[in-house]
Amino acid sequence: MLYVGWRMLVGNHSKFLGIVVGLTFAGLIMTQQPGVFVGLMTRTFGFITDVALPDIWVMDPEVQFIDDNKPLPSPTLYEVASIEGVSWAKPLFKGFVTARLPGGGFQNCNLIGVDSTTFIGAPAVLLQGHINDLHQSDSIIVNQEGALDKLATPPRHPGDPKTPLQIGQRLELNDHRAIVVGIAKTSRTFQSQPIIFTTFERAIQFSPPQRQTLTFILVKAKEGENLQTLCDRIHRQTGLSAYTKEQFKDLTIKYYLKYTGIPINFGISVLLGFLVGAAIAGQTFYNFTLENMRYFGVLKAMGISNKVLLFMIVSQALFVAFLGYGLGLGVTCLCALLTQDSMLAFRFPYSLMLFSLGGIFVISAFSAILSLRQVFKLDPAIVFRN
Amino acid sequence: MKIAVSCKNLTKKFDSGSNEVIALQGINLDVMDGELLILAGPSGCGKTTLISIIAGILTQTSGTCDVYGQNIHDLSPLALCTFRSKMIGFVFQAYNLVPTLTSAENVGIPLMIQGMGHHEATEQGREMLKKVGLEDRADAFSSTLSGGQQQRVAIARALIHSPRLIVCDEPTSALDSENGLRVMSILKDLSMREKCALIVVTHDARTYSFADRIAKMEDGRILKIISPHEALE
Ligand SMILES: Nc1ncnc2c1ncn2[C@@H]1O[C@H](COP(=O)(O)OP(=O)(O)O)[C@@H](O)[C@H]1O
Ligand SMILES: [Mg+2]
Repeated sequence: MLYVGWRMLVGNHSKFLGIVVGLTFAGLIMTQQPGVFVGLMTRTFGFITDVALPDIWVMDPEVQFIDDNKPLPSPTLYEVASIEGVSWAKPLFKGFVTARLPGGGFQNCNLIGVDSTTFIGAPAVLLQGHINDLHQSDSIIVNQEGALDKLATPPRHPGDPKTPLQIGQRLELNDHRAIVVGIAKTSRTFQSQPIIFTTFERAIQFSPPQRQTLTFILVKAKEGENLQTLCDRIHRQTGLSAYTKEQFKDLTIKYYLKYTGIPINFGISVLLGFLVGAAIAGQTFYNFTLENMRYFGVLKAMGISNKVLLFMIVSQALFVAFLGYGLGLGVTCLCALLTQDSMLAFRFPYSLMLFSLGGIFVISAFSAILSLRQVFKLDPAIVFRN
Repeated sequence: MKIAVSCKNLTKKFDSGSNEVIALQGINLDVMDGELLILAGPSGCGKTTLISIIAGILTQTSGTCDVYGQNIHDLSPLALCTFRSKMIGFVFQAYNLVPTLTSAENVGIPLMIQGMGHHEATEQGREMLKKVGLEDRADAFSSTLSGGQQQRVAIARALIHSPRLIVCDEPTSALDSENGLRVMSILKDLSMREKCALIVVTHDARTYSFADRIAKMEDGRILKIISPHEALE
């Protein structure tokens, strides 16, 4: 009888296409929108992700997220380095600087200063140049997005493309000369300002005079050291906050969730999209059942048992739900592929796939139950009525 | 001769909101094994209600109805399903073939309901279609068949699982007289060969000659039971 159910479903090609298109659309908005949401959220901690090597970030206890710059007194670096279980501790400068562009314009940039011997905190992937070029005087590395857009030279004639910032070109950072020696690939960040990397010492020269300059201390734990224990130890001995990379990401996301309202507003629209998708999917399948009521009635008159009806309808619902989900996911992946290098934030981790798969499962179960309810209470005596 | 169906003091009331409709008021009727009984009477007199109760898809308000010795309304819902799937064949005025299945697949449905795989059931459906003269349309979708052809497919479907009782509700009223007569003669032929009981609801007087007996109904009662001979006079 499952065969009969299957043929009822796919037999009318145009109706089947309608069901599949409806469910594909549902699958699409149930995966694409959350993917964009997750992508956007990932951007908030893009910089933490890029700084791969350290296990622990140490910072002022008041710091609430990655772009919250509250510098520490310099000696704390040595204090932290000497704590038991710490393999090494490196300084990181993080601040803002106004750059005067070769074309004359001004642009606000993120300025990152990394330890000048190990370059820990510097970008892992350089598209042009070499990290050791940072040893040259006045040298800086800029990120690709910045070089292509906000730091690029505007066209002479409106409508022409901008000329990207290139190696060898000069910027003026706070009246200091800076020479581009590399172009880096970095994760996009939420604020999307250009990022300028240089050495710790040079970063201090570039930025306006300030009392304290040490923004973060990046710590690598000794092998076998429990990270949480080490964080606790650092906090106890220095009074500073110490977070593992994951904790710091969480802290940052929570800050954005709590204070910016952007994720909440967007999250609600994602949730609505999910619900709309679910409603379309459920409604489409339910309609299919209603349209076939007469034939279900005939089968019931002929003595089909409720158990077999249940198998028929549940397998129909599961089949179309997963087909639609698969196709929707396919379209989502295609979109993601096509927009890979663009501004669009999109992330689709496995957990999100499981989540939306769970969602689809609940919807198909729900619409199958609604359909079954109608079919179970259907009076087989209708078959003799016209 | 064995009694196939035995109804005693059968009544049926429908509660449709405020007004109560008495569809059957005290039906007493026996149908013999191998007999073709026609139920005739004006529209609304209770013919459909009566065969629905006999076929076990509707419950009476009072009285009893035995089919081959089994008081079917004593059965549990599941047992009643099983009983119907084995014992009863259905023919409808509107054919009720599943439009997305081929003729042979439609004919095989009662076997699939009994648990047979669809390949084998469809093969047997194909064989059965030969008996109604439609072997060449076995792979056609039912929506591409004429009304007469669809009703012949439906007859094959009603007979494939060798039921003991076949109920037909106005099987010819959607057909022209030529096709109607053809359908009736196939029905009569096959049921005699299978020796099953056949109850046909009709108000088409041209089909009376196929009957062994004709029960004339009015207002939920059986007025008289007559021979085709008497009916045609
Ligand atoms: N489900 C129902 N609910 C209410 N009244 C019904 C129902 N089915 C049939 N009836 C009524 O019962 C009477 C007999 O109907 P039916 O058996 O269909 O007659 P026939 O088949 O002889 O035309 C009619 O008056 C009809 O309106
Ligand atoms: Mg009727």
